[in-house]
Amino acid sequence: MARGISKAFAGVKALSGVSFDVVGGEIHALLGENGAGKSTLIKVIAGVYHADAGEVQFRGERFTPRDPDESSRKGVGVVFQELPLVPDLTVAENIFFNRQPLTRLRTVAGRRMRSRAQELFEDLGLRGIDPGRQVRDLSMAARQLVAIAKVLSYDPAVLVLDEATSALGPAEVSWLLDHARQCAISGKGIIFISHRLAEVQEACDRVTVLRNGQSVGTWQLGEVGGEDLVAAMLGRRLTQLYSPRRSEPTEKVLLSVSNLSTSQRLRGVNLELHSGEILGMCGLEGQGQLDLFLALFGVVKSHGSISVEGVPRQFHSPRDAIRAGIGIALVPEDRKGEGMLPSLSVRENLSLPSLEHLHRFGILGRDVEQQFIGPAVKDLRIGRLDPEQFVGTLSGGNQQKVVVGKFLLTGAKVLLFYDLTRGVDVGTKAEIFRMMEDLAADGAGILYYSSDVTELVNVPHRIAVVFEGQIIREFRHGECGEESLVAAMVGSTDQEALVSEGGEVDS
Amino acid sequence: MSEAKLDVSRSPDGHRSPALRSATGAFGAWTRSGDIRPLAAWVLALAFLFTYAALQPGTLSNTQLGIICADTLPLAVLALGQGIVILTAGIDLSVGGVLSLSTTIAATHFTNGATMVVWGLVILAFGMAAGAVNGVLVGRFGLQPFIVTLATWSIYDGIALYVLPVEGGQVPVGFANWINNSASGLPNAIWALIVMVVIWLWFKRTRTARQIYAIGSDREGARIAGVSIDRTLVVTYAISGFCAAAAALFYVMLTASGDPTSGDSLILPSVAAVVIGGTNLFGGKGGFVGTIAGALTLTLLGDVIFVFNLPSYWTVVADGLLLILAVLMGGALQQLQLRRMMRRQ
Repeated sequence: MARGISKAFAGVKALSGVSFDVVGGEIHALLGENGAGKSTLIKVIAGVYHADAGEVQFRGERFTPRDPDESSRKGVGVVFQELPLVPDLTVAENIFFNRQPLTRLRTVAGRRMRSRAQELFEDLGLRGIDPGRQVRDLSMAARQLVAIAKVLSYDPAVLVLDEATSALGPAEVSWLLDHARQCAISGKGIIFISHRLAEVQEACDRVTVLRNGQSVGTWQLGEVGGEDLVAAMLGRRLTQLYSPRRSEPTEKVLLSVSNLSTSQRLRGVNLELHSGEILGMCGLEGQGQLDLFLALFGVVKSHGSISVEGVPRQFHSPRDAIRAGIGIALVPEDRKGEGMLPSLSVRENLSLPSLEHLHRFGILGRDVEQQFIGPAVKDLRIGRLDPEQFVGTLSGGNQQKVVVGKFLLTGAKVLLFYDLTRGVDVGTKAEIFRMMEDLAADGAGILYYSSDVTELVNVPHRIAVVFEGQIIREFRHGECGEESLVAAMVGSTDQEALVSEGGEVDS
Repeated sequence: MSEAKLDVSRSPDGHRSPALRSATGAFGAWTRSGDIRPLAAWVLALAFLFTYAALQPGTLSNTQLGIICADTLPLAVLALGQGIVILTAGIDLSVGGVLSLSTTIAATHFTNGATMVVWGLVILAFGMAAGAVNGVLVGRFGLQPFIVTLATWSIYDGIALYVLPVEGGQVPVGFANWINNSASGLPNAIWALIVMVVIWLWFKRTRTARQIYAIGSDREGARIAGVSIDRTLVVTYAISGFCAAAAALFYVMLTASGDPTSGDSLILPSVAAVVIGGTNLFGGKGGFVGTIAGALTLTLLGDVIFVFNLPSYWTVVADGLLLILAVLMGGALQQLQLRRMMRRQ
């Protein structure tokens, strides 16, 4: 169906001379580190950006949509990483945006639109999303599904999924991959972008790797191993994704929490975090893990007791938590905001929580500040970055480093890492794991939530499973595999529940 | 993180001299990631100045420049405060009410040296308190800055009408003349502007300023980084109120009387000066260096219109047109810069 989407770029460095094609009937993966140019390429195809050189062809003809809307109508549907949904409109209104069914009076036919959205969900096998609800009230995973359903409703000949799985749970991911396969069987071409190598290897036929805005090569997936792909992405061999264990938990309790609840989702959590320990947390979306992190950092109100290094504490604001020696790096599900200040420079971001110690008579000295942030710049290998660059212009991986770095500089002993590796490429991931080992070996305690089960099985010393606002199980490192962890996450002690939920996708 | 790694004595870049490093750093920061809009505002201001000078010979003399600066002074002071509020992604409409009320108090209570000092301090304290009230409502209670300051604007305007129902009153001649006098060969008004720039450059390097920029950049992000949003916003709006009261003192020097509606027509220019000066209305970016050029531009625009013998209402229309133009140009400049930045990556 779709043939010969090729393009070459010269002027813009984000992409220089990339050629790429997807044919009908295949799922073609696009791999690359953050900032390699994957999303830029997709945006050129969909008409968000315009190519400075080179051209896109669709069905043998030159394809130049003015915007993503036109692109969708002409048969190239893109599910963008940023999910361009309008939060204040309902699910149905979002899906039929700009092409709402009208009544005779030229007003939007709301009921007809909702029932059509309902039909669409049924056709796609999606359950549990009410078309009449506002997108604002939906979980991130449900929003992702709505965005996918919207694009599929145009019945595109070429379907592009840009990081569409990063917000989804295991059952939803397998639904999406199944659906993508069905589309391919019916002759459509699918471009699949993901940082999860396992998904790519499981679902795709061919793979193209981008690095620094250039194409490294295209392979049949059967012909290359995972290590080769990672090496192609990084431009070097990655010796180890998971750093060798150098830290061991000591007897010293850094953080002790008992009976912690919030008015939202947390229902009495008890936990202890030791010096030198990495404590993993897992749970399905919305089980209270976010509340736990926010409560421990004084962002939301909580009941129950928190003590840091044996001293009982009450946190009314993040300032209290910072003073008590807690640091947080929070990557929200939409990967925007909370934790970085885009229009401030790297230097200003790094020093912000420590300003109390940096000023002389209320004035900040640039030199003092530069020296202060020096260690963080060195330790996090953000040395190549310019401290005066705006954080908003950095790639995702580097932004994450800045977010972590500022709390390392406050001398925090307890570090709360919330989904720090979401949407991060393998190279940066390996660096984050190495950093976590370093910090733990230095005596810090790390509470580490991740939506990636593979990481949780490999990185932490202990794993706590959060379900319905409580910690329902704990495993030691090596005590459980991915399957048993996923089973525990759905609140079951055996495999059966998972199997029965396999076919169904709920919000 | 171990203590050793927080060693502050290590120098990240030893071989260049500190002075050179900070100079190249500052310039680099400006051209690389910084904004060119303040620079553009100065180009615009100078263009207006030379246009006016071409139409009106003698403009570039010390005295004439002093008069232009004196005319600009109230607006510049007002916009200094407004700009700081806008940096937090807020807006302060109440500066109009504070200014009106302050001029009426000055015009009715300034009689001699002693009353001037006492009531001058009262006016400044009132401005600061009025601003702090806005700050508490916006920061502590999370109300919309637009609504809060729209309401307090009306309240202070009402009190101003009680103090002085119609334009009138007077201030001592010696007080009013200060703005037209000179010191060390330079008109006082120019000195005042220079002092304000110095104050701004100091302020920009304080912790509070950094926290203000942080809030404007991303409020939640700033909170997570330990910035006290409540406290910082109270300080921000208090500064704006103080500036509005100070602007009123300069205003009565120019008019030698009070006016219960004087502030209303200065609200738009105060926002316009900030925007023309390149400060982002969504917060986090900009500063007074551009704002002062914006204020000068607006004053000179009025002067140019005056030279053409056009009726004075044209000034008001032109202010609005210039504001729209500035926003358009600002957007275009930002696009240009984004493109440049993308090319570099």
